[in-house]
Amino acid sequence: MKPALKISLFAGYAVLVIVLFKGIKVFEKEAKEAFFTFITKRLVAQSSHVPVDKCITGIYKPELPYSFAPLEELEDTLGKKFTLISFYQAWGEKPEHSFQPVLMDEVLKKGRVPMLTWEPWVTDFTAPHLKPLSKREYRYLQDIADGVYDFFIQEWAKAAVQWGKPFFLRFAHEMTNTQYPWSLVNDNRPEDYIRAWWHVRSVFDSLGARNVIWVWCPYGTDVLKYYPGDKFVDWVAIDIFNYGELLADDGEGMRWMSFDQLASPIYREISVLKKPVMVAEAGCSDIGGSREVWYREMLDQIAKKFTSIKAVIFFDDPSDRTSGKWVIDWSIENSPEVRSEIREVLKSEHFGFIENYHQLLSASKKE
Amino acid sequence: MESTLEIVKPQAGTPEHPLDKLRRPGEREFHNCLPHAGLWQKICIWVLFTIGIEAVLYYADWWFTPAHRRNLAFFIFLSFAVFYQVFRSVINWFYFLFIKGTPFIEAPAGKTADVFTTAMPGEPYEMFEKTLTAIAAIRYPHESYLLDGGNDPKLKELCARLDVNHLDCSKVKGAKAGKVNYALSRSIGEFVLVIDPDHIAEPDFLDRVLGQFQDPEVGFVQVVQAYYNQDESFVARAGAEQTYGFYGPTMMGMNGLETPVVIGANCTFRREALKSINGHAVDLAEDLLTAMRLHAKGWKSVYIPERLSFGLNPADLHSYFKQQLKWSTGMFTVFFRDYFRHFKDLRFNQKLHYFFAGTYYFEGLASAITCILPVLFLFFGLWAVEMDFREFLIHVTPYALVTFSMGWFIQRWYRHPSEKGFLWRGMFLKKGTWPIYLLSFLYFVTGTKVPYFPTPKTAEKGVFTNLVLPHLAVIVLSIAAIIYCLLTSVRFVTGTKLMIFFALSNIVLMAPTVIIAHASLFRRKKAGAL
Repeated sequence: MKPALKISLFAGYAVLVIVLFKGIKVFEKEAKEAFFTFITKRLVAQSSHVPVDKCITGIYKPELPYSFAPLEELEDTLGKKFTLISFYQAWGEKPEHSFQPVLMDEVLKKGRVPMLTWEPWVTDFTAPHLKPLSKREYRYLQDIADGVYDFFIQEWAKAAVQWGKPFFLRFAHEMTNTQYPWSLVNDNRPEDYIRAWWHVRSVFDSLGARNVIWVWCPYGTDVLKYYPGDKFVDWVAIDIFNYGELLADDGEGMRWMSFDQLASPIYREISVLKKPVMVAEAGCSDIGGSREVWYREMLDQIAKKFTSIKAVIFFDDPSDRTSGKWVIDWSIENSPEVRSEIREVLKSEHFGFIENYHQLLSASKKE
Repeated sequence: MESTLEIVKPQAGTPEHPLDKLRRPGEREFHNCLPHAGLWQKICIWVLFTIGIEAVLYYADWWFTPAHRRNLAFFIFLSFAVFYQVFRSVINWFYFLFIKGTPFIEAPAGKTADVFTTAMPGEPYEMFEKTLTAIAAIRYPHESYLLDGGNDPKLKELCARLDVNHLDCSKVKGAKAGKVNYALSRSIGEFVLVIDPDHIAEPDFLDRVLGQFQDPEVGFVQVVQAYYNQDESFVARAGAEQTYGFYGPTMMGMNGLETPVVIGANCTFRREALKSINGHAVDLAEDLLTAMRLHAKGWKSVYIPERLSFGLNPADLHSYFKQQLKWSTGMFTVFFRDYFRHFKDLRFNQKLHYFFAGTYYFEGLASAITCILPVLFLFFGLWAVEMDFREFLIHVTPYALVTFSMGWFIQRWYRHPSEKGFLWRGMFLKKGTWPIYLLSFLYFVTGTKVPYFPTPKTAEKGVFTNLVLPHLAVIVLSIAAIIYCLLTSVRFVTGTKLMIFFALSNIVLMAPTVIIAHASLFRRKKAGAL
């Protein structure tokens, strides 16, 4: 072989190697994730949870879990106790953003189980390696998936694992609700959402987390493309609000909708998943119809029609400002009529307070 | 192309050949298997090699991300250590690209050949009985010489009985090579075969080899060195395992690159070639140096991947370490002293090859660094790198997979079916020899002379705790560092897991050598129990 031929063959090979490498770098993320799912799908145990034949109840109140006194008063009038205590925590680097074992313990001390909604807001971080605020939120679920926020997630997850008692974790809920930055408002795509979910979950799994019950909560319809997969999700949740005619003057034709009307479309979609369903937020405004009827129908239909619903959480916020210009009173506490209706329906065997639910959950920790 | 072998059967009336009991089943038949790499095999190797390069790039690209760097000096050390190993793998793969067998050429009749073997005082008589019987039994007409450094009357008597010329070399300076040069001056054969005193040659040794010298440019022909004592001990087995790949695919690759080297034993030289470099080189690494000088003079070399002689491997740790110390010191000397001297006379392939060979024993330095750095980190928080352990696994896995696949694939060129398998003994022993390689490097750097000692052939029984003190230190320090880190865990941060992983793997890699060094203890206890 002539030297010139040899050199050109060698150069050709070198170019091939480099081009291949560039190609690999392009597909690296996808390949890595595929590989990682391949592994995790085998390593992550099939989720288990206490089989709930009844429907447990839960409640969100703004003062929970700091103060239990108002809750206990309400429960006295309802004659039943709530099993799940729902509260919210955002991402961030301030002390209140870290995992709160003391608060979580408070919930357990009261014989309840925490249902924590974990919201991935990222504008509160100041770490130097993050993108500038102006660009930070663009498709940032990818960054979460790529481990950019691991410094925070890991710390939080470690504390949660260290705490060690079972709790529900509803991460990045309502990913289809453009009110939230983790929705498509920042061009986040379903695949970004799923990768982010996998990544967050993998951080917990790699720390050996067995106390976290993962709640996946879509919003609206056409949501299954956001589903991370059976192995990564324990409960599927839906949020059901009847705004009544509250926003009708926006000309959008808002009207009074029953729980059945609101829940049926998404329930039909998610019932293919064969997961226990939770109504993670349920609320009815008082404009355009009868709240007590709405709540009674809701509970009736959960018992009879929507039998996969194994938990329902009342959204008991007397002054919800999240809808923009309106302050909405969702509370059942402030309405004696609603309270007495609910009291009647909750007498049913179907809605039980499970006294030792968190011990049951502990006993059935994921293998 | 077809090489055919006649299977040698002992004929009635002829004395028993020493190899009759030592050959493995299928020993001779196997020579005909897979002497070449076929087209598909070539393609497989090229594909594996390319995937391997990509895997290495992938690993390196990630490793050298600036975000991973902490203390710059430590980072350089650790990167050297980690990527030295990667570099060695790539070199190995590189050789496999050129795998080439050597077609058999009928030995021309009427040539003259001399067969030399050397004796040193203290070497066992029984060994020479076998060696000389086998040399005398080589069928191609030849003159046999025993180059006796002790002028032993018993050996004289043996030579007389076997019709071997006995040369008194007791006054000859220099070890083996000195005697060979002396014998060269006392003999006239056109070809010279130098056989190590522990090696038992096949009767058709010269018939298989001499044909290659039909090409007037061929200066020497090397064959496989096989061992018949691998069942004697763990060390003997491990030492043999280390040679399987070398005498199979690696040397066949060198054959394709036209750079097979002299291994010390069983090399057949053209007398004219040796003369052109003023005789066999006299040095610690006399074999490699001789090969380099011959190559620099323009002689070609041929490798015949056939097991034509069977020798002894060091059977205990002490002898093994002595052998390795000699080889590695010799290699460093040749690399730093002679490589650059002959550089301009070597062909491109040979330049490359002698560079690869000469840097082989940096292993010791690299291992020392990988042993020390995790301990420093775990105790004192002295950071070389800070990497996520899971990411590390993800990036190192493709490389590891290619290494294993390649290792598996090239086993088809091993020179006997019994050699195939997962050669963990050889791997652990090589990892456990790092203090020796480091020592020879330090010897060289500090300019201390290593006294020449012939490779010991007899197993010295005993406990060698003093030989494995570095290993014990690594194990104890690593365990202590891990416990310390787990207990304090003040900074149980991103990089800690990786360092614990390194420390754990060091413990696993060092432990077998410590056990081997005390193997006789276990054996004695066992015997006591019985």
